[in-house]
Amino acid sequence: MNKRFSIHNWFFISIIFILGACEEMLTPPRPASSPQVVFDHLWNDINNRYSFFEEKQVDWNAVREKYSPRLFATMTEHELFDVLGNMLGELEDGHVNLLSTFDRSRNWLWYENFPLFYNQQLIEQVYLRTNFWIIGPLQAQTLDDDVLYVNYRSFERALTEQHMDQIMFLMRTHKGLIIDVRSNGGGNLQNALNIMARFTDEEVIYGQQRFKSGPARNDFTPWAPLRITPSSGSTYLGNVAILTNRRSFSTTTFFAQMGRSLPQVRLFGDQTGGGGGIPVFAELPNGWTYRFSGSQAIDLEGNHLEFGVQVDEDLTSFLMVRAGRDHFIDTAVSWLKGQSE
Amino acid sequence: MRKYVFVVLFTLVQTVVIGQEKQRTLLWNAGPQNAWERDFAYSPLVYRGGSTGFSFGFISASEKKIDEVYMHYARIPMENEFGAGMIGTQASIMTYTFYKASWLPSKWMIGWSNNNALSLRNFQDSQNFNPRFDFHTSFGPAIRYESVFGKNEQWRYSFQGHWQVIGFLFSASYVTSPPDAFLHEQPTFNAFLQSIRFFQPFQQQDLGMINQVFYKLTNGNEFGLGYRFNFSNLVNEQRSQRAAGHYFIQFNFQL
Repeated sequence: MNKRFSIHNWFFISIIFILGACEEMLTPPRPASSPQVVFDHLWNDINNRYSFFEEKQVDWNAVREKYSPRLFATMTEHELFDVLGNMLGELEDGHVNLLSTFDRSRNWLWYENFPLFYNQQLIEQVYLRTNFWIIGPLQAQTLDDDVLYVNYRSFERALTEQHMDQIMFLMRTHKGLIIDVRSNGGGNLQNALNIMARFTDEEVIYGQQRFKSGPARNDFTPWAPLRITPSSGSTYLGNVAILTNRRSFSTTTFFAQMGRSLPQVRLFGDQTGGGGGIPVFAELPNGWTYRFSGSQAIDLEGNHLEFGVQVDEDLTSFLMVRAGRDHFIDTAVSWLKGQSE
Repeated sequence: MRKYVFVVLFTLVQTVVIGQEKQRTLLWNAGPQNAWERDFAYSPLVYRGGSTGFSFGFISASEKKIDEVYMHYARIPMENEFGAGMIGTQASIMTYTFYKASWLPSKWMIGWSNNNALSLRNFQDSQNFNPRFDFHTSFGPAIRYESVFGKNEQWRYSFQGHWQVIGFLFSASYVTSPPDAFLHEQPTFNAFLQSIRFFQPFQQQDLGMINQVFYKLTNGNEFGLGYRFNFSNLVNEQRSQRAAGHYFIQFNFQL
């Protein structure tokens, strides 16, 4: 190896490494994460992207004035969490939460002050009994000889076409269908569509939706229709009863609204808890995450799904409650039996 | 039939002619790639990580001009300083065209470059509107330096840099993954047109370099080491930034 070769060799290889690691040198510094910085970041992002300020008549500037004085430089992270969580609570939105490793803030007033009329143990003992079908996330049982009762606990559990094929198969020997989504807190909207697609043979528009598109209060995309597209598989066009309560939230609200748009479907119980805005997730400079509604959805009359979907038959009177019975299910069975006669 | 024979013969002849005028090279490289990304729509925090990056490319070089195409791909698990995860997918097709200019020193070339870059960001803790993304196609000046050295000139060092100044940008929306124009009913092509933004000088930035040393084998092929760096700062409905440094071993196959 001659000297000239060696010098060039090492010179150029050195350049590679000297000019290397540019991505390290250009890494931005970590953002400040003082209580005031974290507070400002959260307040600003919600101010710019939250979708229901006008509908809920929330004065977000006043909220800032209320909570900002509660900050101080030496506050603990738990104290800061309480301030931020309470500030978000002013939005009274089940899709708004602050999440840390030690707690999750929430405002559950949309169901906490209402009777739920849902007793899982009673349903299992009296209605599902021991020989019910377990079809994926669904529990199903025949009631009163020819009514199929289906209980769906969470739309987060995947519902496939095969599961719905089995429900359709069972409906060959039943004359009415009850879908119980009481206290179902929501999940994947596609699961709701997979069910409703079996109850129609034509496309149905059940509402409209728009998304936040800028920081101003009225910065939204144009309204876009929400559709149920009929399934290519087997369908059931007979009567369907859907049971809801105040804890039927988010996707379950959309599910109820889909049902309201189909003529053979009737809603029983209490209105849903709402949750018409699709949650957007984001992160604060101190690593906590938060979510907030970033869209709006309305029914065909222009009512916001955020405030819940009304039922066709209100069953919230305590005079209707009978010991050892679920009057929501009993009322739905009576309606279905009456329709089939 | 005679027409097809003519076309085949013409193509063969042209290939031989072109082959005489230009040196054509296929290249392949792989190696560790470090990257960081920051998407202000989700977080002010930087996500960093490393994985393996791959490139495949083609170089056509004549005495006065060099054309290069690089296709690059990397899928990189990243974390922020608090351990939250994000999978970043970075893919690009980068082209360079360099010319020898009489007023430049002999080892330097000047030209332009075109970067078509896609970034997908799948945030672990974001249950909706994943992945967020940016795609930009942009153009700008590029410069190249090359030096051959060694007893038999079997060593070659090259450096090339680019700065993208103008083009188009297509990104995730203000809150959702699809651009706003795709969120309401209209023809897809219209939505696409409405979603395109200008890649403006000094508002958006994309710059990078490739720095490499090769050893030439007796059959004319080369192998070497290199480092490729690229930085982007894109402003659309939200701002996103990313940088990647790819250390690689590269093989050049003469055609």
